[in-house]
Amino acid sequence: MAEKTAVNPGAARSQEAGAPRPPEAPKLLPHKLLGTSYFLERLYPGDRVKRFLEIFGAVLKYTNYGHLVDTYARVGAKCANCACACQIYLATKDPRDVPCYRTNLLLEIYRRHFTFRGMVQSKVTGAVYLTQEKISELAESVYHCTGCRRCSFECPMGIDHGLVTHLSRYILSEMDITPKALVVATREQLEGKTGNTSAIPVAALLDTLDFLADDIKDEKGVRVEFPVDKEGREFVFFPAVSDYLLEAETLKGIALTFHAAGEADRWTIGTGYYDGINYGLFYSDWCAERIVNKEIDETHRLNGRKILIGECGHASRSAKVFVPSFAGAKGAVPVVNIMEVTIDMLRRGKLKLDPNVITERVTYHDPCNIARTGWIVDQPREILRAFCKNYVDMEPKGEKNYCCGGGGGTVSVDEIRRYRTGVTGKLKAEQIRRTGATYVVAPCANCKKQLREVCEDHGLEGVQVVGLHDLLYKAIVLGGGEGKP
Amino acid sequence: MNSWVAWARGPFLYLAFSVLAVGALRQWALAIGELARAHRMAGDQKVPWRWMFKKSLGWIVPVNALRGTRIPFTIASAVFHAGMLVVPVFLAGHVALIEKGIGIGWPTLPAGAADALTLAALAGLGVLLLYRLVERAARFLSGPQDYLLLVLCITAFLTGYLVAHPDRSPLPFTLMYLAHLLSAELILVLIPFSKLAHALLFASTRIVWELGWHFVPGGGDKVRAALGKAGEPV
Repeated sequence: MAEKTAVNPGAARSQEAGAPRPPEAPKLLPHKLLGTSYFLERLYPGDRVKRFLEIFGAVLKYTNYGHLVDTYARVGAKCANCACACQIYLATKDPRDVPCYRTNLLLEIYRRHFTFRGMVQSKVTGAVYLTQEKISELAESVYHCTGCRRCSFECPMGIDHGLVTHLSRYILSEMDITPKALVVATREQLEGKTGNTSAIPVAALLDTLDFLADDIKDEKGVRVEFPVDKEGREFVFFPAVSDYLLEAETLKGIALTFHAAGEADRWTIGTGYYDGINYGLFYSDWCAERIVNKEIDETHRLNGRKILIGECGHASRSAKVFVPSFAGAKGAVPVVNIMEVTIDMLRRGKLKLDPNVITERVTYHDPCNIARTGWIVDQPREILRAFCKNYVDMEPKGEKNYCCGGGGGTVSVDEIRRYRTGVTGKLKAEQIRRTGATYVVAPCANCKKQLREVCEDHGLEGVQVVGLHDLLYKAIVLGGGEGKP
Repeated sequence: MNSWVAWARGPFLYLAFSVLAVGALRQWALAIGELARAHRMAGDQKVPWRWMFKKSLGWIVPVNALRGTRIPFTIASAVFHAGMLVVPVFLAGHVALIEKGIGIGWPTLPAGAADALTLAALAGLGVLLLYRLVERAARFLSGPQDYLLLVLCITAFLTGYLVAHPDRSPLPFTLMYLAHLLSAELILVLIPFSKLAHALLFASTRIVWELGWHFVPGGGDKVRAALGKAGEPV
């Protein structure tokens, strides 16, 4: 049924060679050899060129991308300023990885098929600009990009290459060109029995929570509650659901933090929906809206006041941006990230942290989705400095950090691991090595998975990639008087 | 030759300015209309005006970019743009010409300052051209338009300088003058139709970016309905 088809980059790229490639450019490794082909579930069976243009037309008509594409197509100056900031270009030195080049793949389709000048041009020359090969090239190119949006700081024209990449992926997704891994997870989340991307049934979730609570009892000697389906609480909690399978320490840390501050009655997990992941941010506005609505509905069902996102970059940003986008800014449920809650408890003096527990060197990796806009940059550093004696920063950091290399959903695409760690994660590996840190704190499910693979593939053996609350879990001092001021 | 110059100074100049004016008005009207439409369609209508203003200002005075990795490019670009904005508008010769034509004048640049700005702009343009030719990423991105527009700007500045200093010109004054008039007029005409449009749209590109992220509620469903996929599963 599900036919495995790899988008073949090699063919598309060699056809392009005629045009603007400088003749003395050194031989480039075909991307196929870098391992960037990803699996598709199926391919649109009809005329793909025609279909692409139909989808593009519909998207321009019913969404807000029309004016954006038109403006970018007019002003793009091709100055290549973005190249000096792109970690993928810096790693490959392949001009096809320059953000502006990728953006231009879509803009040129717009210019040639959706503008008056393009129509005249095609009438005169009688040629159809868009071809199957160009679609293949775009399909491959947009999943080279991790959507970290670092380049958006560098474009003098204000072009947000990340947004154009998102749009290209959205158009392609409507003709089923999306990595299979992303589609399968989203299908389970929206239409499957379990309703979440990791296919965890409620019974298993409850088991896990029991197990985690027992663990805390064993390790810390206190009974800590994971509140489930409590109504009227301030926060309804949505971590990346994979945390329930993979990041036990982070979840334990979060529960213990609430407990230690005596504020365990502020949050709850809902069994109606408990997944913060929103792959819609990576490839589909249609899915993004449906997923965000599930979070909003669950929050309303439990009569909660805020959506609380766990340690996950894209889940935080997609909720922060899309809740008001799709539900309307007026009266929209506020979205907060767990680190905002923790820093608030710390500043109010509710948390006591032992500075002698974590003596190893600690560094912090900024997940792009929460750091790029400056939303969450200082808070985690303040928390870490409160109990880590040996804290060092990476360079560059904060808003101008480098991506872990697994952004934009690529971390979930296992078949491109070699590309992710060898190319997109290369600079990150060097950064981590330079810090000499034992703990790399990465408060994001995607970053954690990617950085572990990066460390593995780059021989960074002593490095442990952890969440922020993993370390808090170790350092929190329980005084016995929790809950009493 | 002189009749050509008269033509370039007369009707063609008016034509060039008219094309620019009509083109600019059309683009601004389109931009305002489309931005209003995007804002109306967006679910989230809150717009961070201050942030956008700061961001745009940051590129008009690109101090931050001076800490980046492409410092010569930033300086060259800033110098060239300063020259491009100041010299044509405040050059004494230009103001005199306009005053003669429409009877409105304004303060002018001292000749020395105009010369310095012109030469600096030329140097800036040279650096920009060098980047395009030498830097791998820039060269790969560049098409004929990108080179031709640079050459056009260089021509306009260079001939302008030589018109002001006929003693340094290797070619006859009239020829220089004609070349200057035509190249400058060509720039004016091309502004609405080429990537030079950023001169008109610069102020709005950050608003465009911001509103781009303000997605349309129900937009995804409408797209799928238009494609005949309404109700289909993921």
